Amino acid sequence: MVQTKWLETLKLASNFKTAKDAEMLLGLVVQLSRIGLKRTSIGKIKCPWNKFDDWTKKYWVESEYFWAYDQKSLIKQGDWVIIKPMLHVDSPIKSIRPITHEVEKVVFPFGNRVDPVTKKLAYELKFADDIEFKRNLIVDVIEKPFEEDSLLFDQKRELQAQKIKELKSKDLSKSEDNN
Amino acid sequence: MKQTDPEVLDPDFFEKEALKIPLDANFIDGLKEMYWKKYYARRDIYLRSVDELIGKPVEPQAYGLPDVDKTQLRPEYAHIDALQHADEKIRKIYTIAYGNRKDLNRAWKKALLDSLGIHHMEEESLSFKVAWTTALIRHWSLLEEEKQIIKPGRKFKPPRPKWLSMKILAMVQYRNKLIKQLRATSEEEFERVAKILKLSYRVPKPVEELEVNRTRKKWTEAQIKNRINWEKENQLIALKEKFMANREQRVKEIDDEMEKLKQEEAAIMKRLEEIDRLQGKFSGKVQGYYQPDIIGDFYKHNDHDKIGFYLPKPNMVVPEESDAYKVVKRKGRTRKLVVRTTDVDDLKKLSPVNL
Repeated sequence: MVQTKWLETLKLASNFKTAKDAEMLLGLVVQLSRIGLKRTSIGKIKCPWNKFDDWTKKYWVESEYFWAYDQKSLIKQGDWVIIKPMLHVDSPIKSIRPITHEVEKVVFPFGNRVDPVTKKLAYELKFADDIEFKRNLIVDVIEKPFEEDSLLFDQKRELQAQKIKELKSKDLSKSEDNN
Repeated sequence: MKQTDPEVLDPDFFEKEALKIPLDANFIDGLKEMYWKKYYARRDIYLRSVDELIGKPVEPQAYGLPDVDKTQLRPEYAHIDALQHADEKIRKIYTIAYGNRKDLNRAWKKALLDSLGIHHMEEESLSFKVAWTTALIRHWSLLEEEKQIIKPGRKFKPPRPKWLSMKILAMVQYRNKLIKQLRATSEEEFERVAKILKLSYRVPKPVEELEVNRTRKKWTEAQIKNRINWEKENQLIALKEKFMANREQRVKEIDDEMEKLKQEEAAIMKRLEEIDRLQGKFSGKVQGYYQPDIIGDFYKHNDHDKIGFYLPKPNMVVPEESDAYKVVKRKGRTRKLVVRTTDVDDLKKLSPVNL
């Protein structure tokens, strides 16, 4: 009985609303175009939407495409944007398909994918600051001791170990101060 | 014309040149030549975008590989103190020149990374992966050409190593994926990397701008249509200028002529009314419209087919054929009339009064 209840709640959550009924959608701009006499810009946006499959009992990503108005001409191809459905239009433009959504804002612009929460540049799973910090650490601890030609190999290795100890002691002292 | 000229890099360059071909008997031959010029130009661009160097001498510098000091010690033996102050005859054994091909490859990779300012241990960054894959592609393509050199004592060139060329293509496609991700995250880093490594990345065209006319036949047909529309537009523009030039003057002349004709018409109608009045005819306007005596002729319209003497005789004048009635010829001089309508006007033409 518990298992069936769990499945029923999952089904309800997935089929509660479709992507068309969603109040807010995040999507990727795939195509641009212009319509009307004033040539207002519009964009075709690919929005990923998770759908529940009864047989496999899993959520699968199925993307849906929407055309959205961009009256301020903010978007360009490759941007990740948030779109909202338009309830009423002041001056509707005639087109072959009805345009039902409007672009609210650009979250990740193409060419400058900055995380809006931390305001840092991110390469997939790592921040650029962390990569630079790691690089500087390696250069200071491992490579600089070997650049000193006057020392022998064993002395260089001792220098490396000494630097590692200093860093570890710094971390320990910081953690003690925070506690 | 070279591909590096800024005029030729225009995507519509050859379509614009096609408009300049004169409209002679050799127009279509001219379009054919223009198509082949465009085809070969497009082929050169594609090959450069794929980063394959064809027809160049077998030198590492021609393949974009940096200069490497081969008298350098290999990285495995770089830290040994005894080799630093040893004889050259002993030291040279542990250099890159006396090592394997693998050591040379590693030295090329390290040189490319140093040119970008990337450390060899930051393997998570995209720019590292791009530099690593370019080094792979370049020294593999060098190897591919070296394998095809004719060895002394042999006549024929050995075949191309397909196991290598397929790997190169796969690596090129992987590198394009990495470049696409790099370009999406930070365009500054992408431009810096492309400039230093001398990469030629082809930006994919949006869906609307994709070329549809791929074959020569379709391209020539499209150019002919373009040319027709272009010539029509020019002629229409010239005509419009011609008409707009003397428009006001011509409109005045037309208005003056119209007024004269109206005055003539009014005078003629007046004279006709006077003549009618003298002859005793009614020359005014009739109010209402004339209605025939439908009720009085009611029996005629309904029983018209049944009354035999109302039918026309063969020697009588028969009206012209139409949808309302049809004349069927029979043997001899006899003829038969087939009536199809019940309209009053059509039947009146067959009434005994007219007959």
